Amino acid sequence: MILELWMVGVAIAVLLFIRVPVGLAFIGPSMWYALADGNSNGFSLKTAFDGLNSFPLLAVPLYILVGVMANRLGIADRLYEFCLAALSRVRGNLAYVNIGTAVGFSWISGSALADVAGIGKIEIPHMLKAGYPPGFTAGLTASSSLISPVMPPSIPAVIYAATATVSTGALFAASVTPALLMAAGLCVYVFIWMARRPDLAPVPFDRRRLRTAAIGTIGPAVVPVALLGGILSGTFTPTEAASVAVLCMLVLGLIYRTLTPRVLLQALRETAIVTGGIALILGAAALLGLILTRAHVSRQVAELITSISSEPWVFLVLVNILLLVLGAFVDATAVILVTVPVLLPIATGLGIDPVFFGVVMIVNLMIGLLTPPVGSVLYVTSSVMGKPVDVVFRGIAPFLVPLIAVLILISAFPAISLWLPRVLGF
Amino acid sequence: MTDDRTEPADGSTPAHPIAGRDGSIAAAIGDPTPPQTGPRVLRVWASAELAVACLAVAVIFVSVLWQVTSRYVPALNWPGVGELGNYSLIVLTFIMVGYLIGNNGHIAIQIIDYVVKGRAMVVVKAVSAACTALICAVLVWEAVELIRAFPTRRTAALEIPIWILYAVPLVGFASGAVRAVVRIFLAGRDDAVFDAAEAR
Repeated sequence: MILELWMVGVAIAVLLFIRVPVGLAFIGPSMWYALADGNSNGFSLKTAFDGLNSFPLLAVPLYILVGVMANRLGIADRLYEFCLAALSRVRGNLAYVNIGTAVGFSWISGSALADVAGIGKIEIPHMLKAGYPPGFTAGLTASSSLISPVMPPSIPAVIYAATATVSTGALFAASVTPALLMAAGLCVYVFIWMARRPDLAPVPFDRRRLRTAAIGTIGPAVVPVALLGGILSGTFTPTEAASVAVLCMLVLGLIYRTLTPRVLLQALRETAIVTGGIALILGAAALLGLILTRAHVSRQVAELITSISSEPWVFLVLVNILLLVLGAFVDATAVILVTVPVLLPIATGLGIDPVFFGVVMIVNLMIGLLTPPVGSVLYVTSSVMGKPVDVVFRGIAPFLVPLIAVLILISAFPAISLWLPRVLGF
Repeated sequence: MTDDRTEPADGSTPAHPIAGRDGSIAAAIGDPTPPQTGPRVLRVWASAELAVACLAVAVIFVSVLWQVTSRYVPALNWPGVGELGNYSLIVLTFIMVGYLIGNNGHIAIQIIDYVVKGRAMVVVKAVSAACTALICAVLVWEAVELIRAFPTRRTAALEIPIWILYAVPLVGFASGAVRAVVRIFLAGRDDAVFDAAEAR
C-alpha cells in the first residue's frame, strides 16, 4: 500500500493547490485509500465523526467565542487604552503599546486572527497617524498577534493536547515563558529600530487618563486570573475553563452595557463560521492520521531520521525545518493533526518531552501564519491596513528574526518551557 | 527596514479581499469569492444552517458550563450533558459544510491565485468546485451507508437513535454537493469578500 499512500499524498497536494477546502482535500483521497484498503463503506465518515466526538475539542469553539466577544464587547479597546496611557512617556510608545496590548489580549484570546482583526484595527491607524511606516506597523501588529495562540488559553495547544493526549494544563503552563519571550524579542527589535527614529516622540503622561484606563481593565484582568487560577487549582479543566471565560465575557458585556442581543447573535454567527471551517479539518485529519498510523508511517519516518542521526537535537532541527516549510503552505491545525501522530512517537522515543515538543511545534507553526502563501495573519493585516500583501510582508520579514531566534532558544533549552509546569506540579 | 511612510489607512476597500472591513475572523480565513447569490431556496437554506450552527455553539457553552456547575452542585448532575456538548460540535461541523462551500468560507489554500489568471482561473475554480461536489457526493453515500448500518443503535446517555446523528452529515454534505454544483456555474464571477459580520 506504499504506492497508494504516495498517491494519497499527491492527490491531497493537487486538491489543495486547486483551492479545494482543506478538510475535503484531506477526506477525499483518504476515503479512496480506506476503501482500497478493504474498509467498509462508511468507515471514513465514521472515523471523522468519531474524531470530533471529543470533550477536549469543545474548548475550540468556546475559546473562539471568547476572542470574538472580547473584540465585539469593547474589551480589546480597553486593554489598548490602558497600555496607551501607561506607556505614554516611553519613546516609540505606540510600538510597545502594540506588544503590550497583544500580551494582555493573549491571556483572554487564543487566536492570532482575533488579535490582528480586532486590536489591529485600533492600533494600525493610530501608528500610521503618528508617523510609523506602514511596513513597520504591519510587521509589528502581525508579529505581536502570534503571542495570542501561544499564550494560554491557546487554541493550537488545545488541539495538540487532544491529539497527543498530553495534559492541556501542562501545555498551557509550558507556553507562558515562550510567549513572554516572543514579546521580549519583539520589544528588543523595536528598541533597536527606535534608535533610528528619534522623531517618534512620546506623548505627555496623563495620570487621570491612566487611572480611568486602569479601572476600565479591572474586569478584563479578572478573566485570565479566574481562567488560569481555576485550571491550576483544579477547580475546572481547560475545556471547562473556556465556558467560564465565555460566562465572564457575558458578565463584562452586561457591566459595560455593550452586550446586546444583536452583538450576541453576531458573535455566535462568527464563532459558528470559524469553528465550522476548523472542525471539518479536525474530523478529516482524524481520518488521515488513522491511515498514516495504520500504514506505520511514523516508524518509517523514524527509521529515516535515525539513519541520519539519533541525537534529539538533530531531530528537533529537522522537525523545525519541516514545520516551518509545512506551516508556510498548510493550515496550522491540519499540520498539528497530521504530523503529531507521526512525529510524536519518534520524539518520545528519543527522550523528548511531549509537552516541550508541543510548545516547539506551536511556536513554529504560528510563524507560518505570517508567511505566504497561506499566512492568514498576513492577509488579514493586509486587509485591515488596506495595503497590498507584498508591502505587508516586506514589513513582517524583519520581525521573523526575533521570532525565529525565540524558536531556536526554546528548542535548544527545554527548561525554558518546562520549568513552569514542573513548579506547578504537572 | 523600509521607510515607506505613507498616509494612514482610511478604511477604504481592502487591498487583499480575504477579510471583511470589520476584520472579522471568519472573513479572514474565508476565500475571496462573493457570497452566494444563487437560488433563493439556497439562501433561505443557508440561513437555516447558520441558525442551527449558532444554536449548537450556544448548546456547547451551556453544556460545558453545566458540567462545571454540576461538579459543585450535585443536584444538577446529568450524565447526558457531556454527550450533548460533544454531539453539538459534530452537528455544528457537518451542518456548516454546505453553508461554507456556498459562501466560499472554508479554509482553502490560494497559492494558485498568484499563478493563474483570467480564463484559466475560471477553469480552475470550476474544476475545484467539481472536485468538491464529487467528494461531498461520496460522503453523502457514506452517510447513507452508516444510517443503514445502525438502524437501531442509540447513544449511551441521551439514547438518541444514532442514525439521526448520521443524518446531519448526510444533510450537510448533500447541501455541500448542491452548493458546489452551483459554484461550477458561478466560476466566472469576480472575487469579492465573504463577511461573517453580515452573514445571514
